[in-house]
Amino acid sequence: MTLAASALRALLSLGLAAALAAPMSQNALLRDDLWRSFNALPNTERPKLGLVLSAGSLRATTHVGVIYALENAGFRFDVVTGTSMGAVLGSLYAGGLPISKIWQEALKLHVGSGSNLDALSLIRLLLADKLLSSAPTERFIHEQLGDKRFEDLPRRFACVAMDLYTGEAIVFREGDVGLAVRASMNLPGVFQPVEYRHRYLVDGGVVDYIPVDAARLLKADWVLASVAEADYTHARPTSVLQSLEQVIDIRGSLLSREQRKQANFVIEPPVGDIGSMEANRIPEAIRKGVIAATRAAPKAQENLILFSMKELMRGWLPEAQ
Amino acid sequence: MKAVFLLACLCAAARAGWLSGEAASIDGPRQLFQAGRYEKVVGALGDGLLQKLRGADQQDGYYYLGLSYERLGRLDKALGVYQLGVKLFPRDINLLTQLAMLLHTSGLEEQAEPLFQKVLAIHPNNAAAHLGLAQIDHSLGFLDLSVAHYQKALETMGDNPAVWREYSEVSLDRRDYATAEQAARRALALSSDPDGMLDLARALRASGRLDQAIATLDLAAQRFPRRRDLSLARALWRLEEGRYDEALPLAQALLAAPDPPALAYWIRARVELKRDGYQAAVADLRSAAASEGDDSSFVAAASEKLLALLGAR
Repeated sequence: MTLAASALRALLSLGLAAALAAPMSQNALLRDDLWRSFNALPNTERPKLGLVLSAGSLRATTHVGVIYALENAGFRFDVVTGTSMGAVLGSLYAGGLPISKIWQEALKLHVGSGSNLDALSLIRLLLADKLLSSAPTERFIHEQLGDKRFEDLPRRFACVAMDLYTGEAIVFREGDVGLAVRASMNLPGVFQPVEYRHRYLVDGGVVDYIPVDAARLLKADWVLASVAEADYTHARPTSVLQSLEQVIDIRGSLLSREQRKQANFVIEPPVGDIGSMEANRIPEAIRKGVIAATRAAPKAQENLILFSMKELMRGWLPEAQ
Repeated sequence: MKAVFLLACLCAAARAGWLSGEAASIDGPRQLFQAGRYEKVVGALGDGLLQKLRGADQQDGYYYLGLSYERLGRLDKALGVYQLGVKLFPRDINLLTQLAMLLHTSGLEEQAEPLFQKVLAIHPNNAAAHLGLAQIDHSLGFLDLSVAHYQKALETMGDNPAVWREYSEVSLDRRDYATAEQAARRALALSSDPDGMLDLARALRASGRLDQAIATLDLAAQRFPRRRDLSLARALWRLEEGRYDEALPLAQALLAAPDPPALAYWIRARVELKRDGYQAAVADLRSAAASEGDDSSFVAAASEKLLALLGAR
């Protein structure tokens, strides 16, 4: 036997496969059983599930990985909300695009995505104070979803922008999806505000980094938040764009502490060190999203099962309950 | 220039041991390894012989030394040997694979993965690397990639029931129930074992054939009575099918054994609720809720929740 073949036999005799097999634990057996029961409940008899996607610029592409893993784990969300990049990805997911397609699109993103950013427009911004246009974001959403309105989407969707004049969080849940997502992604100081019904709208990340409230507004009973927060303590911005993003990240982080508590479950992939403009690290961000959500999925299932125990035990409880 | 050339030849010759006359052989340690005398292998190779070996013999030396340490349970030593071996022989597939496997089984999947990828870059059809990557991708959540690697691994390892079982499990997670069932059956055709039977039962249940799934579990539990998970599943799935009268004695048998599992209390409690045995159900749920084992923490939490719904915390 050659060394290569004997190596293979040795590997198998070490029981690599056997080492990874183990009897199912009691927890796994019950979780599996109740999860099946949960997914067998008619839609009208189970809690509505909400998926919330935080802001985070290109770092927030990690949500793609999170959605991929949660779908594999059998989660079926009724409501999706998002801010900024979370709004872009959330609109595609709510619009029924397969996650494989969203993944492909996410890999194509770069710093200038969704804008008319190029050398000339940057010069105009710096010298003549002329803000960039984020109209390409709106076009991108229309290309992916058609000219859909919120009410046309297979899943209920909402996204959040900020009114530049009043500081209010504006929750979009009706009208043209493309325009709403564009407003949610509209980085202040770089892009022209989106004018809509007498409001001047910019990125919602400053006022609603993790839009849990918007999910509750859409009648989600149980909310899972995917959070792509920056570890801003290590960031060292070296450009105007990066400085602006740092400010939004700091503000977002302060806001998110309270917002996290409002979600039933939080998944936070370790993408804090990925810069908001580091397009070359998008594959890494997505990968980390898959891994984090895969590891969290059993606990998320347990959390949801416990939340839904009343619905699951309908028919088992005494009549008086 | 002539002098440089001559010097280069002398160095090569010395390395080959022609001039030193000290050429050592891996034959001895190899024979000791094949005889299972791992301590002797470590003694022989660790005593300076490894440094005297040359070329392919030295590569094999690192391999046998590392593997011997593994067999002796000295994984930290094995890790050091493999790491050094891989540094010296970065294209040695055996050393790369062993290092990757050790990292993988130690839970360091993200460090193991690039090593397996390196093996595949050298040898694209390497079954061990495909198997390692299949397992890593499955545990990290990359189910599609995992399936592709299992399929490659099975081209060479189609006679290994454990690999078919794992392929069944990842297919089940992907909700490809037909493939999961086929793979489970292939595994069982090679070796009838409890995990294979459980995999088949899960595939049957997932594709809507709960009756057949329960029958498979019943057979498995008869053949492997010490596997508590099989007995628990038999009882639990009968609840799902509404076969409460059958679930009850199964739960009671588990509860009569030493160290009864919390899940058996849960099952019995559910049957009692169906029969309007409120007090008995509450008592059982309290027992389940009091469970402190790591593997029953969720059972305890679910029981607490049900008690709260019954107004009986």
